[in-house]
Amino acid sequence: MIEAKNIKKTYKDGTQAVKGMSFVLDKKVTSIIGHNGAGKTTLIRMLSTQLLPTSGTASINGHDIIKDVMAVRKTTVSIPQEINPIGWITVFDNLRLYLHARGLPIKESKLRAEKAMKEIGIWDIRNKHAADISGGQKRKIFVGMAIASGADTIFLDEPTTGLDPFSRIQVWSAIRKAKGQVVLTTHYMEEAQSLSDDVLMVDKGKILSKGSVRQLLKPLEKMVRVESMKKRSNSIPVGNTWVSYVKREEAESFVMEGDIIKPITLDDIFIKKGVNLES
Amino acid sequence: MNLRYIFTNAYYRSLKSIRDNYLFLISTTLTPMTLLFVVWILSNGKDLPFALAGGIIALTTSVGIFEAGNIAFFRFDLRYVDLLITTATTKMDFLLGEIFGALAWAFPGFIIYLLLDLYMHLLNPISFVLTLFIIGIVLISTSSIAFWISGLTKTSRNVWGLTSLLSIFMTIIPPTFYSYTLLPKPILYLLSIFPTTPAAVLEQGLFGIAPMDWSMLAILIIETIVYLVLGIYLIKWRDE
Repeated sequence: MIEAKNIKKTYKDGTQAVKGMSFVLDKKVTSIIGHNGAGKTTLIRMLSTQLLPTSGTASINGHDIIKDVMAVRKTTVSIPQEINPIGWITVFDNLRLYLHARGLPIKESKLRAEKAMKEIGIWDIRNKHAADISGGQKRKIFVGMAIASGADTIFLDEPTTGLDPFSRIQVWSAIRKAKGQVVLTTHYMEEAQSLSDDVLMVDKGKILSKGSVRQLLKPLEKMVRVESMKKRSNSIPVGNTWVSYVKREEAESFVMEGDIIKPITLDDIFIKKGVNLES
Repeated sequence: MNLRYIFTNAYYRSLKSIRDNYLFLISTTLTPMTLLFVVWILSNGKDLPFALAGGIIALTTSVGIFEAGNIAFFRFDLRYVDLLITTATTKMDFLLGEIFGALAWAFPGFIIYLLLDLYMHLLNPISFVLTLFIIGIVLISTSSIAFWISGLTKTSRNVWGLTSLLSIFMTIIPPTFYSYTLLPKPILYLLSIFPTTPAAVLEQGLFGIAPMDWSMLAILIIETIVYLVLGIYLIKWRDE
């Protein structure tokens, strides 16, 4: 269980990346969603003890992220967003080295690394140097590390960025099977919807909403999104498009030539709350 | 202490990577040799023992200091340090893994120097053992300095420049390739801020080519402890 109490982060240049968030995350998979610069990565870095909060605190399974740093680190995995594997060693060796860093014995590391590589589909490239594989495959190495670690809490910062649809499904399946609680950030609403038991929506360093996908979508239940090139009554501007929300049964009579009808997704919660998705 | 990580990391950072980075191994080994050659030519062979005593120190220092570049590469380019933070690995484990990794890069150079020292009848069993001790101490102190400076900048490009500069200051200016007796005492003690100075003075004493100054052993050990503590405390681990 992860509990945050008014956690804040202000960088040295004055940027307030996280402006005071309090929450409890106790579900198997939680997605933190928000646009670029919303504070997702800063939040995950603080929770996983990579970054010191300016004020407030949080605990991971009862261990304070400031006072019990080592206890948190021993039971937590955090995979940063822009990380790269060590290029001059193989995929297999990258996993083994990481598991050694976590203190696992040699034989155990080998077995776990093998299992994880098979699970996320990098077994065939296990003997390739990490420098010689694609960006998506590199990303999978780190998801493999997280899965193989057997950690109680796993933080994944945009784990499927750059992955093809098939690989993404493979990774989702592995995340679902992970032993511990998983907290991930993502830009993909589809990912958050299909993977998460709980969603934390953030914007400009604050929490917009929190709940299950069903709970969050409840206000827009039985509605559809209509995208028009022209302004309509009660429509919301999103870039060059005007978005309206109408009841499903009224959609046919509402649309004009050129309008597009789309099903409701988590994107719509941001739009309804007035978040500029392009910012 | 996570010994498994320390030695696995050292293995992957050294022997496993030499194939892809053999030019660095060659340059690390040959750079002090070129200075050896220059000293041999300019002094008509007279000062060659000083260059042999200092060369092994210069080699160790180069390898230790260039660790800063490696650490910065791991921190800024691979962002691997972020990954390591949330493991059982401590700063000390990381530092020791790097030091042992660095040792392997210097190993061929050590062998060449030690063979040359034996050929020139500069080594006996006692001076051999003490030379290994001094190499170890210099590697710890210079790697610690590398740890410290790797946290001073925000890009690995700056660290490469800084390490080149520091390597020159630490291997050319101190009495590594000339007799320390040529330096006035105040300057000698001033230069002792670099671990290469007391190490070179001790080596020259052990080789019997200059008077032994045992006070330098105390200076070397004390400053190694200071640099080690600074390295551990000042390396950027958790961001603030």
